[in-house]
Amino acid sequence: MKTLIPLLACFLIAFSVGSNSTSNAVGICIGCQIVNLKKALLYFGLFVFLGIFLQGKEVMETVGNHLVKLDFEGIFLSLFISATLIIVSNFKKLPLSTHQVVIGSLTGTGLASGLRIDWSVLLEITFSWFISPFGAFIFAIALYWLMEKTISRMGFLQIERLIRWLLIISSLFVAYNTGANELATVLGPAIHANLTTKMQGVILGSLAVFTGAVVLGPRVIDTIGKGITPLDPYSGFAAQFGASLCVLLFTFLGMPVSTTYCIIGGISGVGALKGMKTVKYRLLQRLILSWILAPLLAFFISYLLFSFKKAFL
Amino acid sequence: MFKKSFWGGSKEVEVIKKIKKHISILCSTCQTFKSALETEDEELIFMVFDLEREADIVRREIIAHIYEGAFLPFLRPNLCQFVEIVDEAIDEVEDAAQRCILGLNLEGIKEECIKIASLNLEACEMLSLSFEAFCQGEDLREKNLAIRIYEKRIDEIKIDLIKRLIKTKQIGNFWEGKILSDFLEALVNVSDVIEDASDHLQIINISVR
Amino acid sequence: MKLEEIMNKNLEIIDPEATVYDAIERLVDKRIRSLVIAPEKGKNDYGVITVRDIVFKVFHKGLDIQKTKIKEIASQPLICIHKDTHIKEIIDLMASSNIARVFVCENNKVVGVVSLLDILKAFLIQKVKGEKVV
Repeated sequence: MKTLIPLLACFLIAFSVGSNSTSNAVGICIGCQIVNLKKALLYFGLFVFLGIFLQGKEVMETVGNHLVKLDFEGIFLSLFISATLIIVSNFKKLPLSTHQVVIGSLTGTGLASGLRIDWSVLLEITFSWFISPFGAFIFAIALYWLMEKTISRMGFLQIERLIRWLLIISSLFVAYNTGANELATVLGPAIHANLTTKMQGVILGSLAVFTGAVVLGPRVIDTIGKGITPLDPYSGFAAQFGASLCVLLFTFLGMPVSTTYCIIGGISGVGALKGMKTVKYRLLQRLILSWILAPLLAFFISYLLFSFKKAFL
Repeated sequence: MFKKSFWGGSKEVEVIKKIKKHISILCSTCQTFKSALETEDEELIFMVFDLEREADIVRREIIAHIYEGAFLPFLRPNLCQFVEIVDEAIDEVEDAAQRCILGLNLEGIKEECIKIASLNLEACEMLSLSFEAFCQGEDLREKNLAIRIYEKRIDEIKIDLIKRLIKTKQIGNFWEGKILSDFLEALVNVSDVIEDASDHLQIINISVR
Repeated sequence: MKLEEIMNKNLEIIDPEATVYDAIERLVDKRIRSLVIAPEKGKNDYGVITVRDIVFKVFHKGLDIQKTKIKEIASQPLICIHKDTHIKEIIDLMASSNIARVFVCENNKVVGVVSLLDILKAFLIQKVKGEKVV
């Protein structure tokens, strides 16, 4: 019974991941009418599952085990605080990155409970957060350059067909990454604290993401592009795929990184190549602010609450 | 979903085929009109009208196909615009043809008019080549320039023509003058519109590469 | 490609007794680079005056454009070719004589002019059509 609440919190976070990630994954495909919404969401859910099932291990290990090994109470509080923060921020339309909240919270709780925190791992994670958007920037540019060299020579019809396929592959890739990296970040602590078995967690987690996508995803898809220049499918693919490659790389290394930030890095990369400003400065400011605020906020709240609990309860 | 994406849709191939047909109707129209001017055969003028009607039908089929779901959304408006412009060129030839059967007197300028009609035909054929190249993924710039060269030549002829008309032409009444003026304007506009179409094709070409 | 198709039949002809200023006015208004000079009374030889002539022989030498007559700086006689001449020959002629245009003559009359620009346009069109030009 007592495992229910933290598990619920965990799946709530997964739900939020689902609703926020759908636009990243399927936004472009739906905008180009390549596939209808229902099918898009179905494939999204499927590939999220594949992602976490086939490749979630590394990130789950890092977050749930290497960073800090919390006991039940720690997990309870961390997940609860994380879920609350994420839900509140979604409500306020200021989405915070799931990774950063979860990791900030885990670290805060861990420190307050006097457990051993692997600072080198934390450093690696922070470092990954920092350089992953730049990595995506470079990957996107490289990919665009490659596409120009190869695709530009093809006939009109061939290019049109190819772009459709590329966009589909790209969104499935993003879905896969969402499972392998983002969902893994959330499930890692829960699974390693034995709140649930690996298989159960993976299945239920994927389901939670899928539910989030179905229930709230469509609304978020409409707001894509606010503050970000809509790119043509050609550039959009380069940005998205380049970002996904970057995320996959970090997933292999076991580092939890944000797909959203990487996609922004990718879009900036392609935009820079074309000499245009693709991301409004205001949005960039908000993003950097939340990038700093999210982990710190989660960290301090968790630290304080846990210390409070330890002292008085 | 997969079937449509995999085979690139027979819809897209259909549309391309129909656009090629549309452009070839443009060429036929120009060819027929030129012959009509040379031979003064009224039958040929009526053939021009038939061709224009046929082109209209093809144009509607193309646009319907496109909005039934062919091609990625960002390409559709540009493709439709291209087809509309080609159709406009055919309309201009038809306009000129109409004036012919209203008692047009081309005395003194018939040779130049035939020359312009001839250059219009060359421009159409060049546009046809251009579209082929577009489908193959080749560079369109040279063909675009060739069409511009034709258009400039026609402009030069037009200016000389009008200067000469001002000096020598006797107009009986307002309608005689209007018909002649409308005829010349339509005849000269054909190449302008073809140049427009060529520019538009280049825009579509660039947007996918 | 027939010479007749490329050549420009609209010639601007100017009197040899006209001043350089008259020539300049004509050139600027018509946006052209050369004028055919009508033959003097009783004679048959046409001449030509080009923008190069005016810039190098008049401006550069400090002559007065209102006082200098065209016939004083004209290039005479005109380089004439027959309208059946092959384009390659024309280009060779232009290259060896370092001239930018040749005049097409028939029965001692100038009927048209072919400039480098005309040849340029013809080349492009033939290239695009995939035909051989020369």
